[in-house]
Amino acid sequence: MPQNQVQAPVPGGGIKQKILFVSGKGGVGKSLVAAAVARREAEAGRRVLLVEIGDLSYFKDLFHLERVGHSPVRVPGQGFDLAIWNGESCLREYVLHYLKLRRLYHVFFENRVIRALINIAPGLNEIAILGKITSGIRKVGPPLDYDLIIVDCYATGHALALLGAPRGLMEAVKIGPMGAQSREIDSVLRDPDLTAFWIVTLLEEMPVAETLEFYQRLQEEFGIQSEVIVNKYLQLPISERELETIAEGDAQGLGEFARYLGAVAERQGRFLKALEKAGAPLRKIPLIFTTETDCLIREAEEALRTT
Amino acid sequence: MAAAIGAHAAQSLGRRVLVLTVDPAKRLATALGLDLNSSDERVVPLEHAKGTMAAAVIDSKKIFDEFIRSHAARSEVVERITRNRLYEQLSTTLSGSQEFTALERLLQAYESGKFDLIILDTPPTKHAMDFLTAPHRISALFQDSVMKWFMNPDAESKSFIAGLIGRGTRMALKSLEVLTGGAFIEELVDFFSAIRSIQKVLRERSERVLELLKSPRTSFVVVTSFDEAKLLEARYLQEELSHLRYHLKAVIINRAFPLGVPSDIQAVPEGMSPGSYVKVLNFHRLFREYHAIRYNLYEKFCRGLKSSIAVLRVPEYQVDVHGLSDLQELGKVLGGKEQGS
Repeated sequence: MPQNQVQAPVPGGGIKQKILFVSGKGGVGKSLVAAAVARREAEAGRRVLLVEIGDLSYFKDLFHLERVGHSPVRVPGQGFDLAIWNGESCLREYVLHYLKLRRLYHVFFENRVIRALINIAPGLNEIAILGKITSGIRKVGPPLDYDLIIVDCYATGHALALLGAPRGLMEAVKIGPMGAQSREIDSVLRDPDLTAFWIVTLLEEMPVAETLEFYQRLQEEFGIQSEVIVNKYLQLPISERELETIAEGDAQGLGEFARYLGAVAERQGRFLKALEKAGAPLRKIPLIFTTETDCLIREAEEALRTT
Repeated sequence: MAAAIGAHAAQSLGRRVLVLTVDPAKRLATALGLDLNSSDERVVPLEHAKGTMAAAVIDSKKIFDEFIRSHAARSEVVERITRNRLYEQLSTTLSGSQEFTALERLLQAYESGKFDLIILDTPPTKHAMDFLTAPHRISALFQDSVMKWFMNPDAESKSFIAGLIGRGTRMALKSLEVLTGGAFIEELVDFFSAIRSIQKVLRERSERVLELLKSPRTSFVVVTSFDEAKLLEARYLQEELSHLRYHLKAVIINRAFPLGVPSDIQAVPEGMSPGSYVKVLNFHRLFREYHAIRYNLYEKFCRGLKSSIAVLRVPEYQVDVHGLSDLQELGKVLGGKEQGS
């Protein structure tokens, strides 16, 4: 499809499909944030698909689902659909869609050479996944009937490799369908009207360092302006000055806890400043005192709505 | 965490330690004395250490290039491989290269005999499995039957059986060509036929890595946090590791509750504003209840683990762990608990 059609208005004036990538250092709560925004958007009346990448579904047990696979399933009580895509499942769908002949398709995937190739060919998995994610916008392959695709993406390092794959391939293979598709995918990723990026972080040394690096590299290498979502922000019940009084005056009782809270407050302030200095737009999700998934998502959703 | 374990082993146990990391944050790299532009091993200065600790960043591109250079028989082969545009992408930007190079670097360090303990920091869970199955995938790719096609894709096979296999492969490859274009296939064929000369050594190396990973001398440590979903992920990883016949030795649970807070405060001490004191007290109660729920999840998780696997809890620190002295402290915590468990 020619590139200019990517930007074409939707016939009938409907909402144009958009993509949101959610990334961050491992263990900061990306998936929870992705689910919270999926729920928020679904409640606002949008048709939302939450996509996991890889082989292992984080949400399957969390939402008590029997199965999560390539084809979207509705998540009960959440209002959005969920799917898990990996290089092979995306490639299979794509090949079946284009080769049409099921027999040829089997020859293709049962072939040892092809299997080995899919496992290791540089960029093929990444292109297959990104190709699927952007297929609705590019109007390529089976229809993807959603207003918003939210991608619970890899952690920052692998996310950069994923996002860099189309550019890498279009430089390596300039002509032919592979080059053309890579160019299309790359232009969708870089278009702020179509694609948004969120980086989830905790206000701690390593996650913030990784966030700042990822934020800058998205800007410099992809021209992408991302937003930063601060997760588990500890909202103090009293002022830092009052905390200090307790820390100093009650050594036996709450003193140690007050000192702990004071240290957390100081650390949070320091890292918020560093993020603000980098110019990153920020949203905060407070630390929520529950382990119950539904409650966590609901509270996070509320926080995202109000910040 | 990898650096903290390393610091402990060097300091208290007197080991010669190497910590290999794929992509450290700048400050940690500074603390470890690493130059981010270099992949050389650097000695990390540790106070009162009986052993030594070195650290190195794994530079994928460099290890790839060196590997090709040292194993390709002729210089024109080296040039042909490194000139191939897919190789350039494979060795620099594309994911997949990290797995191969990190494991190759691990093997090199092991074979050097310079270290008693080598610690390799792997990517998070979703990619840890890619990482751990990389040797299987690489050796599968370099099977003769697969390589043969790339050596000469258009050759007519002489034997009847080989001819049949060849036809299927040709059909499949034709389909791939329709989907991806001739240029992509050409690059691939060029890439595979160029690396033909190092096929044997590539396969041998990946088999040796696999042997090393399966050896009882190699231990796997899973780092997780106090969260239901993370613990489930850790359990999955544990099952996969045992399926691959790798040896999981310990699970480290990070960011456990801040310790040392009394539980039974009734009266407001003299001189304190009751309003703010009660607010902090209530807040503390919330913290404790939250911790109690998480503690139950943790106990459930532990009950599901084999008894040979040690479980270590690392408390949430008041300060961030990033500098060398913090790492040493954390190392002591890990070391101390390990002995007790």
